[in-house]
Amino acid sequence: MLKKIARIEIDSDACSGCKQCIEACFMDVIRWDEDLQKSSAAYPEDCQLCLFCEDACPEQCIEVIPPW
Amino acid sequence: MPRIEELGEVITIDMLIVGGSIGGLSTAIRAKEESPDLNILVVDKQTVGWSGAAPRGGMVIWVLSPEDDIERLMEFHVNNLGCFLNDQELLFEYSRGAYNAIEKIAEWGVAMPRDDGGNIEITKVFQPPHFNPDYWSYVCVDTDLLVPLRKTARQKGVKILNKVQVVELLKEEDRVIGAVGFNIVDGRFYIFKAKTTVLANGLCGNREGLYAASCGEGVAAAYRAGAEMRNAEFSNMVMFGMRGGYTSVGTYYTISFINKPPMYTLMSNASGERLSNLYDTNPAGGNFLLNIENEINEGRGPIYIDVEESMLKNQTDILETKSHWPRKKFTSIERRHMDKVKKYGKNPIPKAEAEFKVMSNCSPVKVDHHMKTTLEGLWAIGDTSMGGSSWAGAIVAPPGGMCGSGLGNAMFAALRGAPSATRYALETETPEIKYSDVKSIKEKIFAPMGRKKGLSPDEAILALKEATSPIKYYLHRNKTNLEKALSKIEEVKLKLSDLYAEDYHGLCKCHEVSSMTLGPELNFMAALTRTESRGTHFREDYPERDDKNWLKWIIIKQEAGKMKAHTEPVPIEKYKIKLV
Repeated sequence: MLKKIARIEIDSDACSGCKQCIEACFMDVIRWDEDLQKSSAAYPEDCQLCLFCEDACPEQCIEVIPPW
Repeated sequence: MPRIEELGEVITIDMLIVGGSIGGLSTAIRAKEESPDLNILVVDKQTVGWSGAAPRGGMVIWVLSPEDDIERLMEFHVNNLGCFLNDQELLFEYSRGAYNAIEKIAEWGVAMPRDDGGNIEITKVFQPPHFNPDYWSYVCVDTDLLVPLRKTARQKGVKILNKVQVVELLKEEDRVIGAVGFNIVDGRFYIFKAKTTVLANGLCGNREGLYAASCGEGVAAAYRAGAEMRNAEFSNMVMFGMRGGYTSVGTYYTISFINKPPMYTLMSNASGERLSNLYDTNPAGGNFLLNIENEINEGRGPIYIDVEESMLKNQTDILETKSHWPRKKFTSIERRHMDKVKKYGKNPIPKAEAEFKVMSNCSPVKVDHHMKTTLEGLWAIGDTSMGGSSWAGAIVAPPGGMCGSGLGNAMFAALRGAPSATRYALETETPEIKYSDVKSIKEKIFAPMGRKKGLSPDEAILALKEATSPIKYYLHRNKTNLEKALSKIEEVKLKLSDLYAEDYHGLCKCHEVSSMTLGPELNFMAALTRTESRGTHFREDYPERDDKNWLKWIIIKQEAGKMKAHTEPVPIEKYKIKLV
């Protein structure tokens, strides 16, 4: 049985690269993309929908879409 | 002769603290107060300040206010929750020390509500009046409470290392002399040479919700190192939330079998009858989940949660209204959750079908009154040892029968443990670590990276959950099904030798799932040993409480690679509250 996973959309144009979302995530879902110099949702399968990343983002450019 | 530095970065410190949530940070700061020159390192597999379970709970800390009656609390707790398996001396210290712990973290910068006189404001509880003894009180804190603690720790000279998963303890005979781990982003290997090691990295859970990061790496490392475990049979954690709708971290209420009949007031069956009108709501009056199961078996399911009246809606409002203290971060995140429900939820609000989960949330490391484990040089605080400390007795810990007790216990344990761990660090020499020991441990840790195929960590987590989640192993225990459960875990453990990792994030998950197997295994092994029913442990084949034979703690430890259980009498003769 495949686990339904959340979708995490990060608007890379709006992302300022402050990394606060990476700090806020307690599951290592969001990583720093060295090429883009932006945050990226590397492991959405581990997201617990705590929404701390959304709340931490000063640009409000993250949206966690639940797998419901 | 090969040098140990060839294996990884060697860091020599006086005190290694594994886990940087509220327990780890409080230990570090308190240790610095004891000895400002102590060289302390806090290591966390995520980012200290936001990691761990602490920021994701209900953001209340249980407290007994200075004017409350400790004797009454003890009487209630020992009789109704701990069922006489409490370490009553430690329960007394916890009850007395909780307020002091709150004052301490306030001093360290954590914001909390104050009254007009500047005193910390204690909020009486929001649970229904019939289950509302006046010692059920809280102090509100906000979700960002670790940020000021991190700042204070750094100001006092505590060093912090993020994104490093500590996997194994290092030993010299019976003494723990540090640990090893790796960076989950770049794979760098670390060897921590420490006079004292403090485990503060959470309980052995099943990688879901609030406790998703608490996979028991510390508990499992302590077990492998030979530390004793206690009270594992009472680690049945029950959670309920709303099926398919509001399934966020903060909305799975953690409940125990016997102590939350008030939750009935939030629930109704398919006919619309409130469960509180059908079942005994006395705290010790019956088994919550068995009664719900009965409703479903009798054709009156599903069970619904009344969202409008539930704590989901009221928790924030009531606490804020009562305390006049808005928790900005908590409220902001709760609003986001509600917005998700409105935008993506499928279930009609305000009525949602209740979804129950039963699992092992095991915090079993046995500690003394100063949080020292049975191993020399090793301390365990907070969720690693809440059950093992036994102040809560025969009940899942956390919450130990009281919402907010997880945070309270972590702070209390830190304040109890830090001075003792500091003294030990000051009195001992820096240990020497053997190259050959570290080399073989390192090879084992990285072994999943060398495999190209086999079992992925996600497959392993699923297999473990399937093997250990059937509700019968928690609610309808008997010799046959507990032996079956243990054999299922053995099957999963055999598969774990095929774990492979594609990257260091995956390697971290491999060690998480390996650690997670220990929680249910300890739980079921202890449950098989305890041939009676008590607290959250219910045996169909031994349905009665047996005070004559079972005023005992079950102690489990690893001997020659095997899990062995023995018992230790509860010294009830020296405790104040006696069996009548």
